[in-house]
Amino acid sequence: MSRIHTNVHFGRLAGAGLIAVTVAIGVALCLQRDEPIEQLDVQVVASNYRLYFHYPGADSVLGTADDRLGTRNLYAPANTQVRLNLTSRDFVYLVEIPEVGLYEVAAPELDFEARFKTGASGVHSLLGSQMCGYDHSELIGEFVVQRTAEFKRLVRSLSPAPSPSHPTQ
Amino acid sequence: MIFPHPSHRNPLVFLVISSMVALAGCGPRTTPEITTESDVNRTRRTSDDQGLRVFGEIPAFTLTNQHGESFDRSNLDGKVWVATFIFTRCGATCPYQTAAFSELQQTLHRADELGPVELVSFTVDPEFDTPDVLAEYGTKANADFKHWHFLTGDRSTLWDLSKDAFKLDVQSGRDATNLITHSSLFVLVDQDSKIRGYYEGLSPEANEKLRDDISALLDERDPSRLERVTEISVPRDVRDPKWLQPRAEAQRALASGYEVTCDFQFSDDLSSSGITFTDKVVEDVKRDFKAAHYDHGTAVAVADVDQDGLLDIYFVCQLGSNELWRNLGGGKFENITESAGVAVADEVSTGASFADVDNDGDADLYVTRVRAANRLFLNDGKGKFEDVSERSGLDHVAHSSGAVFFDYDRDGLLDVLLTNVGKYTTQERGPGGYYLAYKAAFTGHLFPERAEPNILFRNLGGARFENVNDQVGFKDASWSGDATPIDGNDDGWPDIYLLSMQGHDQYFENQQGKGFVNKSRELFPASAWGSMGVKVFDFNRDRKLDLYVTDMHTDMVHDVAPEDEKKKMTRNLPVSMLGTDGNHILGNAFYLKSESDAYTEVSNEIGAENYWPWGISVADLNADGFEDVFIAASMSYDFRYGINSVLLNDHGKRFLDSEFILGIEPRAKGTAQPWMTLDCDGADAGHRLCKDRSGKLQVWTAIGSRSSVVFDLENDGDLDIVTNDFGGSPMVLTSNLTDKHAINYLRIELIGKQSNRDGLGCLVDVQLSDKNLIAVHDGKSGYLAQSRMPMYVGLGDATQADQITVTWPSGIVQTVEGPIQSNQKLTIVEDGETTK
Repeated sequence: MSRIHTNVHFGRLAGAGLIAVTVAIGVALCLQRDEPIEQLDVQVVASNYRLYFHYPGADSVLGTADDRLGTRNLYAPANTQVRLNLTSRDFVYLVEIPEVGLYEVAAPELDFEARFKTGASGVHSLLGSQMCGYDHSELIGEFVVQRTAEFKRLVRSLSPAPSPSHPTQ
Repeated sequence: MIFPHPSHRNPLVFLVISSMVALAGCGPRTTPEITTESDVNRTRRTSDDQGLRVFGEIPAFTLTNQHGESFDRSNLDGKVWVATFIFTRCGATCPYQTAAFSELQQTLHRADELGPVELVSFTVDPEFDTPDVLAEYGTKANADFKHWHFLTGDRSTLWDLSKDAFKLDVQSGRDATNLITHSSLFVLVDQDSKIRGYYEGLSPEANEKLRDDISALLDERDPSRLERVTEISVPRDVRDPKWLQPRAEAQRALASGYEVTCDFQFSDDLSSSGITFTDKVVEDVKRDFKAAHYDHGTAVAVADVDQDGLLDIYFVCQLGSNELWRNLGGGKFENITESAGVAVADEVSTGASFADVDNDGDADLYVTRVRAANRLFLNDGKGKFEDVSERSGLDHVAHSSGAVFFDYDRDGLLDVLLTNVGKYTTQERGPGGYYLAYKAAFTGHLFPERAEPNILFRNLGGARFENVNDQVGFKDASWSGDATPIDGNDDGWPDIYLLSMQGHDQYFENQQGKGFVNKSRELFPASAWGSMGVKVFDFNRDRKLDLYVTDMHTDMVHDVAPEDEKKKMTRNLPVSMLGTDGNHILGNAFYLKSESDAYTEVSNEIGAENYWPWGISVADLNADGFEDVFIAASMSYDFRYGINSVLLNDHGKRFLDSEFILGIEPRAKGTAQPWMTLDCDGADAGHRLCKDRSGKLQVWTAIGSRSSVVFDLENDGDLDIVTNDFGGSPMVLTSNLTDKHAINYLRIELIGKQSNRDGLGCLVDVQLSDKNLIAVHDGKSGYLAQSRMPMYVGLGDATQADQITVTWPSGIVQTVEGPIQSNQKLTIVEDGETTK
């Protein structure tokens, strides 16, 4: 019984130590991963009553082969300067994120740039509409501000974007 | 949410639920669901090639519905119905089955097929699912119990029905109260109680197939259904907007407090007028609304083309023949288009301007078009017109819009300012031959290469014109639809106020006929961004000519509730889209003139705002000596209804909303019109309005006016209004003012000698004992148009004018001494006699 007890005690100590180390490593990794992204470039392409968001992939450079593609919801890391480049493949669309004062147009053959800085993590409204058109629920989404690590994970989970030269679906 | 309404369409949910069903069934999580119809494909029960097979027949049954009433199969005889088996305690598939039924119910309702098609949910747990329980369950599913029946009864009857009749297995474990496995399939039954298809209730694809097969069965039952026309309204309330009546009542309630004459009415006498004109519009704005400039519509203009003393009406049709209607008197008209030779039936027409371009005393006609040569017609004085476009030099080809005749160099010949919108069309042609518009036509101003110059043509005499833009330094490529002469600096030389429908308006100061200098932002630092209509007149009778500009495009930035239509928009488009400095008035602009070259914008202070305005017609509708305004307004498919506006001038202090008081709203012809018929089984199957619908679909949409002209149609002394309504029939709104009141007015016809024959540009000052009524004779009334008609001056209580002073473009100042009795027509010849 005693031996067993000792082993249990030792085991408990070892377990606690292991947990502590794991937590420490985890925290360190998290801190490392949550190093802020200073600037994020996102290409916003409106097409067929949807908004598509092209994010830079692992190379952190937009317009390369590893770009990722999302739709409806825009994601961004917290406390980051975001630069959106907006265009459209068909109609004129209004894109608005009241939280950060974004109010811009996506229009064919035109590129409009919008800049804003994200704050803390949170979920906000992203309002898209076809100018002078009828309502399209697919244009209404969310602007999701995440911790850097979450954002990076999210971007990794997105599907690869089409060729940068043809950035729509 | 009780039932996961939309999520059954989510493939992920479908997979999860299907997995649950496969593993656990409904109820006990350990018992696999069993379905027995092994010969039936679960997702495609019927063969498209073979039509709908017969799988069996449902025998007679008698059960109890959710209201506790007896319900037997005969209740469904002759109808198509869809059955499924559920129980209310079921936590797995049943909520999704019921959600899918709920959606099917909505779809059938939209297609007007609920009734010919019934829905039946059989419980497999009758001990628990009493009628009350089913009623509560159905209510939560928004069931229409007239057509969606929840049936309970004896367990053996229900289970036998499921297994033997529908061939859907149902089982229970040892605890029969909640361990029930059953099928999640939907079963389609025809009017003869024969089973015609099985569909996986949790599969969006199978549900779509079910929908198609229902239509096929209905067609099979009633082949004439294919020809049936279903009516829908877009938006749904467009034929009876709920806000209209309360708004009318509220306005009428204000009338007792108005200190202006407003106890008279306009009535739409189109049917008795004999006018049968109907505007036909291009598919770009008809079948699928494309935000492009075609929706700006077309002109209506008047002139006495045959010089019989009655004003005739020219309606411009967007796609098809324009029509000239001769005034026969007594409010009757006849179509003389063919004999007059002014149909201009090819290509797309836009504007119409009557003016005497050759100073021979009759009304000539200039018709503007889209990417086709504009046409100038000379009148022979009897209403027969000769096309002299080519030799005139006015056969310009562009996306032309309004054309404004005036004498910029005061040489006695009418010059013309032609406004051109800009290249809003592609190279591709649509039905009827029009050029398809860009999908994003309203960004055109951001593409310099799409700009088209607005052109000042100088009249050389002999109905020949030359472009003098370079010569006079008139350089402008605004996206313009109209313009007006205006003497901003009071030097007697007509300056130009040019509207921009996508940018700042422009103001060009006339350098004594030798050139123009752009002083736009000096005089008008803030202007409307989307200007449409314009008129120069003296609002407050201070002997200064003010400027009223309506703004349509800013009103398209965001939705405005009907009760907020008198307010300015809360914001404009993003500056990047505006393409300007962003200094704009967010709606109609009213510039009150204080002195030479000085204007103050007072639109909010005087109530000049309205919603969705196009052109304006300014005239003294109640003859009280103050000029009132009619604004043609509203959109068409697929926007909500919008009203035309009448603003009665409250003694120069403010405008009073009066369209309901005067009977102009609600329109006698209603708020909506049949707009198009879609063939949802044919060419229009992909149209968004055909989703979940079959057969022919007649779509009703909002009526909307575009252009207007105010004149005395009946020669009875009061002013009437004629509109050109987009894609529909016009309104002939005749006033009964003179039936109700003894009014005082003067009609003044001007005949220039040294000046242009029409006297366009004359400043007329009618002096009464207590005030001066000044007006500029410019022929402008309504959008895209210029009319040739006498001036109309309401005198209020004055039965006579003390004097009339006419300042002619030639510089001659001519006085007609009084007393001049009211209610007569004066013909004032420049530097000559005045005929009364």
